[in-house]
Amino acid sequence: QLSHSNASNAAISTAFPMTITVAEPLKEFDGTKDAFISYLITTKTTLDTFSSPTVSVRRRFQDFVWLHNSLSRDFAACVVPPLPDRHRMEYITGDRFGPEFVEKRRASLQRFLTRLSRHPTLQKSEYFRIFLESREWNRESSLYRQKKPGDGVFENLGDALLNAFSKLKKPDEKFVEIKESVDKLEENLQTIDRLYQKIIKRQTDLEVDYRDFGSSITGLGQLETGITAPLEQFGDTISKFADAWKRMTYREENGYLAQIRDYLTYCHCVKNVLKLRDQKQVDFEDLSEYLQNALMERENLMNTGKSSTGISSFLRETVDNIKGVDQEQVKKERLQKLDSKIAELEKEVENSNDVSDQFSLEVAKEYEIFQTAKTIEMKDCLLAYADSHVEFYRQGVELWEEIIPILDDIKFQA
Amino acid sequence: MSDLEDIDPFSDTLPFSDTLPYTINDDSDDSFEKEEENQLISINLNYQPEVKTQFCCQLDRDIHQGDFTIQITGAQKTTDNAGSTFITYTIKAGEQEVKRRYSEFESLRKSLMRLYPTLIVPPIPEKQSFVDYATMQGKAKEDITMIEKRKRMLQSFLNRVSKHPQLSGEHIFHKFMESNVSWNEVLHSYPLSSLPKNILQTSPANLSQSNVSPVNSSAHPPLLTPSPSQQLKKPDPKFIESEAFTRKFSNHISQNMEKTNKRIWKRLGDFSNDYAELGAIYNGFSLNESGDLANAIEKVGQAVDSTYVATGDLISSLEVEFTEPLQEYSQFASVIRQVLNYRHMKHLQMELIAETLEKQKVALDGLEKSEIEAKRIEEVLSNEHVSPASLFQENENNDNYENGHYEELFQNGDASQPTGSGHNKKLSGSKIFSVLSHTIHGIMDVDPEAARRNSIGKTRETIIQLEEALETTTEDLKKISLSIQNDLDRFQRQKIMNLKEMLIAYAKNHLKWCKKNLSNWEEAKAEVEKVQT
Repeated sequence: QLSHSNASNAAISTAFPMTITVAEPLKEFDGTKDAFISYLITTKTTLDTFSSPTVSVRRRFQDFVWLHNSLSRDFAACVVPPLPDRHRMEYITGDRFGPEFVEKRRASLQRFLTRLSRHPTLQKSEYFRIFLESREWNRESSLYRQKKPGDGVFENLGDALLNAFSKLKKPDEKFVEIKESVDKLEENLQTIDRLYQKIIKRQTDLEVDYRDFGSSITGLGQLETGITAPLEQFGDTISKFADAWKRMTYREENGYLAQIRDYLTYCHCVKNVLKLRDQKQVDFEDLSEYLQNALMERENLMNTGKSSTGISSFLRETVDNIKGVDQEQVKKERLQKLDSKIAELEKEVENSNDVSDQFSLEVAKEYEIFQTAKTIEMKDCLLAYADSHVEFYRQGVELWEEIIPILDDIKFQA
Repeated sequence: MSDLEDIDPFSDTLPFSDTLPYTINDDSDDSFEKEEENQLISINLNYQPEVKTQFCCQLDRDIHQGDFTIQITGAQKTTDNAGSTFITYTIKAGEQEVKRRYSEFESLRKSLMRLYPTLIVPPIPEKQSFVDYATMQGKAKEDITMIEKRKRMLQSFLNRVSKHPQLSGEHIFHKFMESNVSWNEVLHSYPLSSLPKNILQTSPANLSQSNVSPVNSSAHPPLLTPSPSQQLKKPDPKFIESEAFTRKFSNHISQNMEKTNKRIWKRLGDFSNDYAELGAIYNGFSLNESGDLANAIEKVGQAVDSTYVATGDLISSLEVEFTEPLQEYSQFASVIRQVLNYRHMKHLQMELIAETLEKQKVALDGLEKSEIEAKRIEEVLSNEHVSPASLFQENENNDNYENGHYEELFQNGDASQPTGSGHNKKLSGSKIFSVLSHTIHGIMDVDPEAARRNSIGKTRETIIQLEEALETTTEDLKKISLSIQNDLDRFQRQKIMNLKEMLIAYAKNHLKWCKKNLSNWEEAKAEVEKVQT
């Protein structure tokens, strides 16, 4: 069994005022086409916004999606942890009720909630509270379903995000560093993912190989009637050794590898937020450019009486003269228009600057949160990983130590 | 040993047997139980005494005194005068040191098999195939691995021979390891030079009566060689069982054990490479992180690296301590099959001789009956003057037998063909014809009586020879069967001990691997636990 360890064992503190477990998957409406799996969510918390220190509810995947979307919409600057992939092969093969799939999902959902619980901002959101304890789920959650996009503090670009990072005039060094750092992390995780898939296959094959070999030893024992018993026991040892391989492989595939993949998705989320931050800066830069142009235009108008130079303005002037247009009047009108445009732009630029700065501050904070989370999560992940190896080799030592005296006792019997 | 190798009397209809056929004879004495496992029991079958006191040379003495091992200390590429390149192996045995090449090992082994056809001569590594030669020109690393493997297996061969109760005393074996001895000379001198090409034609060299030389005197005429496709009329059930068991054992070792073992060996190699890659990745990963986390990742990387190294060690140890001995036993199974084959052929031989003897006796009987008849006729003829016609009428019934017999005699000139083809010719015409032929034969200057007497003489001689041969082969077969049975028993003991060693080595190497990795991963785990959160 994979341990639900991390969340339930972590002590409750001010930084982590809640521990959440996702357990007891249950198939509801079994036999109908509306069947689904529900999970028991148990929360222990010190936060006073909750009705009691311990609460339990049942939720299904759809409900998690609501939570995720609501948070993503309203907290655009936050890195909302990812949900497990909705469209998995298992849906197509019809295996979405299989025990392995359900377990993987359960573990992933637990990671999701744990991450939220550790996030200083998100942990306090109303959406989160409703999700964790509401007894009137349908009513309370639908209240928030009506909210229009854009009502949040920051505008969000939604799920269909930019593919590439926007080109900045003055790239912010801090965020360039952050992006590079996340890139490297992603790269490392992807390499591990790829190699580990190979290793999992290799170990699975090795397990079968050992079993076959064990049978051949037992088979030899059938032929050599003088040593049938010790050879059978040797065959048995090998079979148990193969079992140990199987267990380690299982833990690595469903624990370690699943966490690595989950973490990769988390990195993508971070990158998306970074992209958004860049976009805000681009907005500001673009607006600043417009403002600069407008100011330059005014400058020109003041100095030369002409708002622009060149053939077209000369032609216009000539036409004006013929028409008998009053140049001074024209100039005054133009200036007025420009001034109001400039005033507007100045306000917008200031606003955009504020938004960009604010967003950057938030993102920087988010990155810190992400880094802290990374340390905790990687530690847990590596601990389980190392432990699965320790367990395997410990079992191995036991098995091999046990068989040696039995072999030592082999005597030739006439 | 191409003669024996071509012959395979085993058909698929041999009975199946589950029981251990390599049992010590029921009339063995109690001293067997008291013997310690490691002492080899030698049945006092041939001229070698149980406790050796007479030695033919210093090496012989060394071999039989306590713990003696032969070593192959080196392998060099040598070029001879003709310009061909080959590898020579340096053998160190006691005070002796000599260089021999593979083909010389091969011929040593062949010679031992011909001198001791009833004994299980240990195998040598197989000849290199063309493919091996081709790849040998290329990668130097594989070159070295193969040469090292050969060294080990040739060394094992020499040591196994030196531990065999009978083979260890064979002087040509000692000569093989003696400094400055030309193997070519050994091959062309006694005893090897006086072995017949087909060893089935004599008694087994190692079981002869003579105390001095192991080879049968050449005064003994060559024995008949049976056809390999013949079936035994009265096969020995115990050896039928042995043959069946050997086949099953051989199949199980090569089809089952060797195959599955090789798969693990290969897969562990792949696993080891995967881990080498993984270790590098973790090391790179740790460089991108900082603080405790970086240390933790680095330590995990180190554990992975050490797993890679430990797995390499496991693979090479298993190769030497398990896979190679397993290969030896797979080859041993073939050797046993050949030995049992030899016995089978000798058994066939004995039956063939017995059969031939019977036929000759029947023929002699017939000839002697004719002789008596002829004498009777002569007597009658000399006492009475009776017309030939009335004589023939009197002897009507015996007539045709004699005539038919005469005709056959003159056709073959050999008394070994049985007659019995006489049938009654009642017509007088044929009687006259037979008188005529009698006369004609007389004119032709062949004396039927003399010829018959000649045949009788020859047949009698042949019968005596066949009786001698039958006696010899029957005795031989008994001795052969006993010798083989003893060597099978000795082999069985050796096999169990070797299997025990191999399995213990397998377990111990895996244990070592697990322990090494356990300590490294525990260290890594401890480092991860140190990470501050």
